[in-house]
Amino acid sequence: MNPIIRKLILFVATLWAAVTVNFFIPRLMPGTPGDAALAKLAGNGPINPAQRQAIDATLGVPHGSLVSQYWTYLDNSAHGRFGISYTYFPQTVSSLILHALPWTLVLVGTVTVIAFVVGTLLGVLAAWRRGRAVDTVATVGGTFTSGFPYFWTALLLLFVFAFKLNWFPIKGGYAADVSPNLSLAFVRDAAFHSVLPALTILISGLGGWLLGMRNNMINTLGEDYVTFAEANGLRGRTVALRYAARNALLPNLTAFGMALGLVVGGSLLTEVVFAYPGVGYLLYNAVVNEDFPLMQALFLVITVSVLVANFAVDLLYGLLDPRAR
Amino acid sequence: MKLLEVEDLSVVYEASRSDPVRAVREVSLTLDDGEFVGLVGESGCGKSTLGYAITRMLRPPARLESGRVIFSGTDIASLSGERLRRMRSHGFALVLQSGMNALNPVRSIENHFGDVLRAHQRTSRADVRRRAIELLEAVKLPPETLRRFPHELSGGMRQRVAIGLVLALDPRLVIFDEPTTALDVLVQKAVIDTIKDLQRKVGFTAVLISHDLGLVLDSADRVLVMYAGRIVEDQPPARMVTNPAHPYTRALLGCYADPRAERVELAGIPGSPPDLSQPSAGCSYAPRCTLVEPGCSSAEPPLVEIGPRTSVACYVTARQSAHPVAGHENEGQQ
Repeated sequence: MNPIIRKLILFVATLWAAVTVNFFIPRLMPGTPGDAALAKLAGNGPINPAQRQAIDATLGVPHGSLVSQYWTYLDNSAHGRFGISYTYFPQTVSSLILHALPWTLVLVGTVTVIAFVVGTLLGVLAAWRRGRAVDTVATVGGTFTSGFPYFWTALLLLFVFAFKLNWFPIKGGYAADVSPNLSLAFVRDAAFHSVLPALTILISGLGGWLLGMRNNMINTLGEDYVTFAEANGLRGRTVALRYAARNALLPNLTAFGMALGLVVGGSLLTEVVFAYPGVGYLLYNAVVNEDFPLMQALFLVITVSVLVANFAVDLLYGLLDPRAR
Repeated sequence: MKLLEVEDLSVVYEASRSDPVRAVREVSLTLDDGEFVGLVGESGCGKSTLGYAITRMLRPPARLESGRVIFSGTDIASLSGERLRRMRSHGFALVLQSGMNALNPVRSIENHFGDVLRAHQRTSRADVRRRAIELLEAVKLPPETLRRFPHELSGGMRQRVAIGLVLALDPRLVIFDEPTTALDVLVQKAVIDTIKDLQRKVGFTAVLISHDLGLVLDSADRVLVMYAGRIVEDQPPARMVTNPAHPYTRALLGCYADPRAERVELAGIPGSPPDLSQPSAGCSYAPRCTLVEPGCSSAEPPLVEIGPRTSVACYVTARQSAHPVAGHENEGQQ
């Protein structure tokens, strides 16, 4: 069978399993949301069937068998009907997610890609100039910054550049006096607001890619095909990029796929510190306010995007490594 | 005609926590154009290190301590960077021990040829293809191999591709560092036959490094025996079999069984090679030698010529055969 079709089938099967588990796990718990509400009310005296029906109707407790509920759930999920948020009543969950998603995708997505590309290139350079000044600075610097926790970096940047120096806005994705549209003024304002969150993610993420790539690259530099390429008088740049780095990149690609998938989950702590209107901040609010419809939908979206990213990397892997075809 | 002259070459492996190991010690040798030379010795005797030193492929912790390597008039031991890289075309080449891993797993065979050819001159796609097919034919591989990736080829085929790549450089000296170690005996024979064949046709000088004395005696025109970082004997193979000069060579030959003999008697060599991180006085083979005399521990014996195309680094053998060629003794080697 064509390997792409095989991977596609596997992807669809995994996706179905994830969605199904997302449906069944909450329902395996004993009781219904209605029971929980009734238990609280029971303290005030006996409950008649009419009260019970009213509560069930308010909470949307489903009717019918588990199987029919499951079909309804699949249908709703496929059409993006996730219900109404408790916290942001009466907004629908899908409109909330759709509004938060672009902020996270642009900020975290761009910075993740930049961190990967820059970190990998620096790792290649450090390994190729092993033991020289570039290597020492990059390796020590990378180890140092990758040790910073996200939220700590975020707080530090916020304190110094926003609070003390007042160079950057202290919170939010855009100023209160501009409305979100695609005008130049808004884009400039949004970019200005994203500098500190972006810097936070970059500082904490760059070191990991750099060190990972440097270590892989040092291993591949010891491979016979690198020695042989040098013995055949290939140019230094060809040996470094096409022979050593090209092979050293492969294991890092899997990690990059995971990182890309997690982009959609947002950078929770960073977004919370900067009150950035992304998915991470939304998830934080959902958890704090026990907003179950929002939480469940967000978890589903995160799961699906991790799967999609992994599928994409899997396909890319096939292109980059002939042994994986 | 002289192609390569090695003078007083020493290589040391420097480790931070232990004494430096002197893997090659004051080796001098001369290779002529078109020779097929075998270099044998047991593991750790410095034979591969010598091959890497000659092709300037030593990497830390190995370091060229002293000596000169004169390749057709240029001291390549003092070259570096771009000038050294240029010498690798029409110059000296190295085929690695594990040809299995000598190819980049993510590049097709055609790209391998492209990389090597383009590294030394501008070559069009069509020319790369034409030349690559010629070279594959020379190492007895079909043209379809071009489209393959290394993992789709067998070990023997990969080693043939590696030899083909080296030939793309149009080299005058090729060092084969145990090219058949990872291959089974039949494939080994076929690869060695291909190497011999090419060497005769193309006319490059070949150095075959191996721990397999039988293989070397079978294929080379001249055999160098190495022990503890030094060359101890230099003789054509036919005479070496009947008349080994150095007691170590004699002992090595005793380690091989004659498959036709009714009773096989195998002799090992008692003891083990010396620790090259410790300085030694006198002949380093003396502790294992059957001919040892009190004089052997004074200084390392030099490699002296004791007959036509025959040199040995042994006081006892040199003295015993001193009479016929007494006049040559001070010349060092041939």
